[in-house]
Amino acid sequence: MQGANFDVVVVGGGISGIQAALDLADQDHKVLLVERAASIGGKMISLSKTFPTLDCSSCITTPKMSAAFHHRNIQVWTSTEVERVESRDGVRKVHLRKHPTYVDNSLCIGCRLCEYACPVEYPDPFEEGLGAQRAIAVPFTNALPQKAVLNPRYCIACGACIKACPTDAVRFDQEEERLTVEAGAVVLTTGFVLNALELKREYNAARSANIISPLQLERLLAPHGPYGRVLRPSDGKVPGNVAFVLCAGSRDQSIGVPYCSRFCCMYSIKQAMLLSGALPTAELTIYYMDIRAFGKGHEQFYQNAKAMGIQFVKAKVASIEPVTGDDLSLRVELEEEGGRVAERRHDLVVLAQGAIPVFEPSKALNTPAAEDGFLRQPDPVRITWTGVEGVFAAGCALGPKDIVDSIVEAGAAAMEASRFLALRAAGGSPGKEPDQLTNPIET
Amino acid sequence: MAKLTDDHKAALKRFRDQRKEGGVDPAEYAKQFRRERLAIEAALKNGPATVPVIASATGLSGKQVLWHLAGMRKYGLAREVGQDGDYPRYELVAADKDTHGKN
Repeated sequence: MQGANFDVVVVGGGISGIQAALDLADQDHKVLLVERAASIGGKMISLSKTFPTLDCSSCITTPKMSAAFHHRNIQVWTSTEVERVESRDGVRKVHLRKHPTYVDNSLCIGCRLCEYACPVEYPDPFEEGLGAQRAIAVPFTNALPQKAVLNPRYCIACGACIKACPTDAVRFDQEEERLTVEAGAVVLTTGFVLNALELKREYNAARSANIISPLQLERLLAPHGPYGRVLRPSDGKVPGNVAFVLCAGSRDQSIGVPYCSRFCCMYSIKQAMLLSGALPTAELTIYYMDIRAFGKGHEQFYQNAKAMGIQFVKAKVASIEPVTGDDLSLRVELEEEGGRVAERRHDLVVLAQGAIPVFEPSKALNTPAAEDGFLRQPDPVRITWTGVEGVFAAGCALGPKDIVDSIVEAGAAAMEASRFLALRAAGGSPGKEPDQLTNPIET
Repeated sequence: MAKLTDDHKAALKRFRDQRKEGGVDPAEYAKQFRRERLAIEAALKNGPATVPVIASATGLSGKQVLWHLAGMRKYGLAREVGQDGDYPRYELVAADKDTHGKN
């Protein structure tokens, strides 16, 4: 595979990367879609529903994953990380590290007999640690590829998987590979991660299992979630009084994330709505600084949530303390009551963490990051261009944004990449486009 | 069920040796996992129980008990049966040689 050549390499197999790959492949470009996890699908495949329409998230993502995975112009490489992207002399070189999965994908038939035979379980990353995964397993039900992956951190090398495999696909001698591929253009769709739950020490997330992340709540709300229903993690109780704390990891200079993560208001409202369906008698409170319902249909969604009886309290949560009965006491300053300080008790708290970048532009692309750490957008009219010749980006790699905006941006990045390739093929030198080089506009 | 060949055994040995060099030894984790799982299975032998009841019978935290029950549900070894106040009860599923839960 060394030296393989593609028209475009798309880095990141989340919803933005899948969309960009599909849009490029449909224009007959040969695309390599690279994903560091063992399956494509990104964050979206693990969500319960989307806002503001409450559509089933995996029902939208799975067909797109499948379309990309089976497209004649797309090759998908999973468990593969991008170390560096070089853009020099009109050629893009993408340096990759392919992690061993200890399974020969050409032989594995995804029957999961190895998984059923494995004697060890560890906290399942797909279930955000709430569920259990065997040391060799297909990552999740609708994972693509449907191939087993072995986790060497937990495997006791007992050989049970080898004995159970009907096609002799388990390969304990597999090793990491380093590869370099060449591409006409690169689209970076590397997404985001949430900052640590324990980052704000006054919220004491390290001291209570009942202070959870929004992605954990997504799994609790998902039909095939870890408990099969919504329970609080500390003791399996059906929660009766849930709090959502907004801006718990963004808009906060003290933790180095001064920007707004943009989608927390809306997913918190969505989660509260879904919880009111799952737990009809539960009290649901959203503590917010201000609700940013800026997208199409978002304001109506917010008003519907209020009409459903979800409490919106304009207050900054100063601290969270674990108290008896695994409950949590929130110290809040109630803005609409003249700043009165109150103690509120809840049995489950969801912290809306901040979205931070994964990709390090200075290390991996030899270009400085924007002030917020995400990729730069030096041209305000071509927002998917990273400032590096032939390298484009979309979705949360450029900054936090919701699914709809990510998909739109992925289409735009695919179009920019396609235009770049067409200009190059026509003999023009896209690297010397006048609007790129002679009139750069710094943001 | 296939048997381990000499090639398999050699690959397993190399894998173990390489991992030891890297300072990773999951044996202790696996033993602890097994102890906890057996304790939970023993606590459920007397009939369905909630997470707090299993936790006090085994000395494990409620969080750890619920995590094990999540794994046992996933692999067909336990299921939810009724509720005691705000707490669902769980019971063991009889081992069936034909189910994938066989361990």
